Amino acid sequence: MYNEQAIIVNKLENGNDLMEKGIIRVENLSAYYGELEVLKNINLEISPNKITAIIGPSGCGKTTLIRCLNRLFETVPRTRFSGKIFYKERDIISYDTTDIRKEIGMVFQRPNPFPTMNIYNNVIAGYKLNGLKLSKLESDQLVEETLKKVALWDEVRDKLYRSSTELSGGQQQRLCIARTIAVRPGVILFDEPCAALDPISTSKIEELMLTLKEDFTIIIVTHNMQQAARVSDFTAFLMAGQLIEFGYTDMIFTSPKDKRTEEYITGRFG
Amino acid sequence: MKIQFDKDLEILGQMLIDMYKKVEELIKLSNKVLFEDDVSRIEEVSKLEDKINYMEVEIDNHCVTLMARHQPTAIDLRFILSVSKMSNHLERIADLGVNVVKSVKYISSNVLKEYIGDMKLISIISNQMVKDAMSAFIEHNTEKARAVCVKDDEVDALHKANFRKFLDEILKSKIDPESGIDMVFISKHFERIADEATNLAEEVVFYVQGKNIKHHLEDKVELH
Repeated sequence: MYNEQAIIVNKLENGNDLMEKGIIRVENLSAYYGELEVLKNINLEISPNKITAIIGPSGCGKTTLIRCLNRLFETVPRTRFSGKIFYKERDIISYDTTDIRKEIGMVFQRPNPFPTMNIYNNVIAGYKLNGLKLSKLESDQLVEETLKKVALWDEVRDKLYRSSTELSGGQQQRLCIARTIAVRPGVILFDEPCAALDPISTSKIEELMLTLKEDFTIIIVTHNMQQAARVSDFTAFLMAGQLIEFGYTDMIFTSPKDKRTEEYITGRFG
Repeated sequence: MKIQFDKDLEILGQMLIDMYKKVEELIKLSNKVLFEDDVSRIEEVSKLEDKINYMEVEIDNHCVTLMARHQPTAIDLRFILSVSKMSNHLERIADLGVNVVKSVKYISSNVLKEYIGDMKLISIISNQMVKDAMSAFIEHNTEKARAVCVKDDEVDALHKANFRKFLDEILKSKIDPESGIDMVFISKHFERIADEATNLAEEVVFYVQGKNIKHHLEDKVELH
């Protein structure tokens, strides 16, 4: 009934295979703040339409890593990186920065809807700010479709032209996710998206991520290991700028190969 | 440092060892009843069984509490799961020891005297397997655990030989059928004790190495 070959094939059929070409491929990435090396020779492939969690102790380079992926890292003075990052097999350096940040969107720790815009305009902000014209019908359809996708439509349909700041923290975060997916990225980066939210809002965001991965590739940085265990398909463990272990989440959380991974996830350090 | 959780895990491990000590005591008593015809120990066996059952429930409760409170992962998760299952296997071993004692009551004493030597070897090996499996747990010794699993075939062969012998004795009218069948039951109980010892050993490998070697699956598939 079982044989080794069948298990490998099974992984390939599910598209759930580390050998499959990643939508993002990181090769020998090192990143520096001045002389300080904060990422050390990272090699990683992100599988499409999966959730990859990046975990590790504070200061290990998790946020730096994801900010490299959409070139936000280079907006900070005196930073540089070496190595390569490929998005859909193309070096991200060859993309225009606006284009790559549209393709690889980001949701931040603190919900940050644009305070001067109402809910409706927050959703289509990506188009407005880039001078992309949408007809009224197209905008209305996009707003409704996107807000439904983030399970916010029913809560805000009667107040689309009210300020986004009137929403609760959890609603604001879902609005930010709507804003990100409205421009139809390939990848969404979540940088500790639930750190400022209560448990119920957190649960809603996690449920949302599981739905979104049908259409998007998701990378989430989180300090909450139970969250990583709950939502992700793959987990990468970073420590002091190095990638210590990467694999299927169920393997990382039941039988990690590296002792340091085990010590971290069992809470014995970090 | 998760000091309290580590203490709780130590307590859980000690609870399992304490339970094993009671099971070991029960098996020794059951062997006294069987091999020395010492029926005065039967009530003691029954009291020990009650105590062991209670200990199994306590271990189960402790495991559930630890999982609810601490959401353990990796080796901690495997340890708690393994201990929970091992307590079930130890409880079954105790049941089998009680079954040996119950079977003895139905065997005529002259049959017992003549044939009891046939049970000595299977009893020694199966009891030693339990001891080795638990010592593998204490020492985190997966080699010792795997050696226990290998021994199971030897016990299976001994039981088959016992079964054929007693069937033969019954067919040749050298032994009354009821006694013959109960002797086969006793042999079967020891064979089952060996199976449970194998289960204990498999849990040790799972806990220490994260490998599931049940049903010889390790030879056939890499589970991760």
